[in-house]
Amino acid sequence: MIEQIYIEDSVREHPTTLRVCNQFPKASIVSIGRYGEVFNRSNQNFRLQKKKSALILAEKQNETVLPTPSNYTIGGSKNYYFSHMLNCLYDCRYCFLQGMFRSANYVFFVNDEDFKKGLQSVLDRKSANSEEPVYFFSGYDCDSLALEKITQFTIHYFPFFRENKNAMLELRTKSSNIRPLLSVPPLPNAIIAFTMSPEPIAKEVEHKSASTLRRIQSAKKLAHAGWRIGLRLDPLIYHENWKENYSLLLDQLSKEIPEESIHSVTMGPMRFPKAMFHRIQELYPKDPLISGPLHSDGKNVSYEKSIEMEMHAYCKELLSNYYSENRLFCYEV
Amino acid sequence: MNQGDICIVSAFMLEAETFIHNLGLKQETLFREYPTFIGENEGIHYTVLISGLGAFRMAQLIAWAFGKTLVRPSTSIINIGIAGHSNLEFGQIFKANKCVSSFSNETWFPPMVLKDSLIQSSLYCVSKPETDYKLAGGYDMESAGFFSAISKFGIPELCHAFKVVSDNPQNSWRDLNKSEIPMIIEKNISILMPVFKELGNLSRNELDLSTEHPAYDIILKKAHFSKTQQFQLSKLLKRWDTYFPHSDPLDKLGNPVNSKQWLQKLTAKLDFPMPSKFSP
Repeated sequence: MIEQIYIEDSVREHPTTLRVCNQFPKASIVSIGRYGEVFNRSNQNFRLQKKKSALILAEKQNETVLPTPSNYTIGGSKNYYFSHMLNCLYDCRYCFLQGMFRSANYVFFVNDEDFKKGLQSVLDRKSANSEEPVYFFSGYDCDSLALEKITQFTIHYFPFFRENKNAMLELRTKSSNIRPLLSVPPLPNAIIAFTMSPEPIAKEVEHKSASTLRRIQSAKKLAHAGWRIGLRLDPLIYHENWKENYSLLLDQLSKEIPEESIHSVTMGPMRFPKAMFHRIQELYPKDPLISGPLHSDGKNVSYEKSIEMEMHAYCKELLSNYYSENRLFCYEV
Repeated sequence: MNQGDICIVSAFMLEAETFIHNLGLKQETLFREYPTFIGENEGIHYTVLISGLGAFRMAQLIAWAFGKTLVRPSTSIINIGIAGHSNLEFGQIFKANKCVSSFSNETWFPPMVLKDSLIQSSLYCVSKPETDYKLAGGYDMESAGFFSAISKFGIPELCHAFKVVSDNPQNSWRDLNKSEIPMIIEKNISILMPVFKELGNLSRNELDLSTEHPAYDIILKKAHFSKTQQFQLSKLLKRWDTYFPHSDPLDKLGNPVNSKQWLQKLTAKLDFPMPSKFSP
């Protein structure tokens, strides 16, 4: 699966580096100074690199835990994200990573010990005088579970959350690789959040990811095992028969996953910062999603307001038929 | 349908003659600056160019080839030649996965997106033949110029350096007989041909993506478009192709009188809020 590994000199002897190298004994190893030498180089083609992404083992320096944008919430007011990895196994055409990063290689920061120090520091600072939990999002710059075999995220990070009940973890994924979760007792302060899209979107837009049905089945199994589930209808995609498809999706979700297991349901519009959109458009000039009825307001590119509002109103109504108000978080349009 | 496009660049004729012969290429006499060979083989357009010794000449050659439009951004440019190596055997082929310039200390990491199973190695670009092989890896005299130019002009994913080991700690470069050079390269041609095929396909795909809609040139002749408007027209026509693959925009837009009208009419048709259709 991984045939090329770049390793920063500073982590060459890190136990995680040694483990990953053992996992891929046939991979070609290239030593590098800093990951940016490979990852941030100009004039790279994200689309071509997606054909065969390499793995970069690196050390995360400076801030490991950062505040999320203000509207990024699932009920808490203290929201932070940490990225133990940059980039994703999947190839979703709406993903902002393809416009944000120059390279499609996976950067895996092996120094989980520094991330945990960062998490602890934020937690100590933010929960010193308050019982309110601090939310940590792990799937901001990557899919939290997709490369679990390599990152062993659950092994490295779950103990921290098991010890710190006031720290909530959102692990966001489109993967059906739930075995690592089923093999451990559920974490009461974790939310396993699945991006859910109608099946035609999963098939045609969310390339290489698990089908919607498999995601639903995975969420169902986790719910039965006692995990709390998040449903993320984000982004909403305007496509032929979208009303029927979203209705069908919500119907399936409500039938398969008991509401008491649902921590939160979010939905959000498809939006790209303008410069990012242009980069994606250059990569995929003939893609149906990118060629869709999109509109620039000078800063962002999104569906026209009328479409956004219609989709928002329709899906919000749908969601409220199935889920109680306190579980719904719909980003305003 | 577009054709894949590969350009092989070598320092010396001895390094390239195997390809010229096997691919059935003919010398192009139009260009006097550099020996140039052109031809077609199995649906791929090939160009072979000879730079002369050294990284500077190699960089110059690539810039020249772009200037003369012998190559374009979608061309797969390949540097093939001989190299010394600290530990690989004489005659062994390898692909550079890291190139270090001994002149500037610059480093390049060619993205490894191909399916081949070639041996990979670091490659140090030096100013004179190596005798000590102190650092583990290959040694050549052109690769820094090659990667430096490629990083400016080409698509790095399509551009690679393949080297055949001509000397190592056991076989000094001084003992190398010139007639051996084509022979050791010839021995590796069966390994390289599938690589060429893959690179040819990738190059063709890139060209397909950048190829303008057939109506583009026709519309440009009907009105004066500024550079910005040409760019807008190109994007709109690519969207048109996605939305209406079987429909000719020239039939649907009437007779706009100027560039502004052309762009407005195209935009009006395409910005109609029609949902994306993903399944056939």
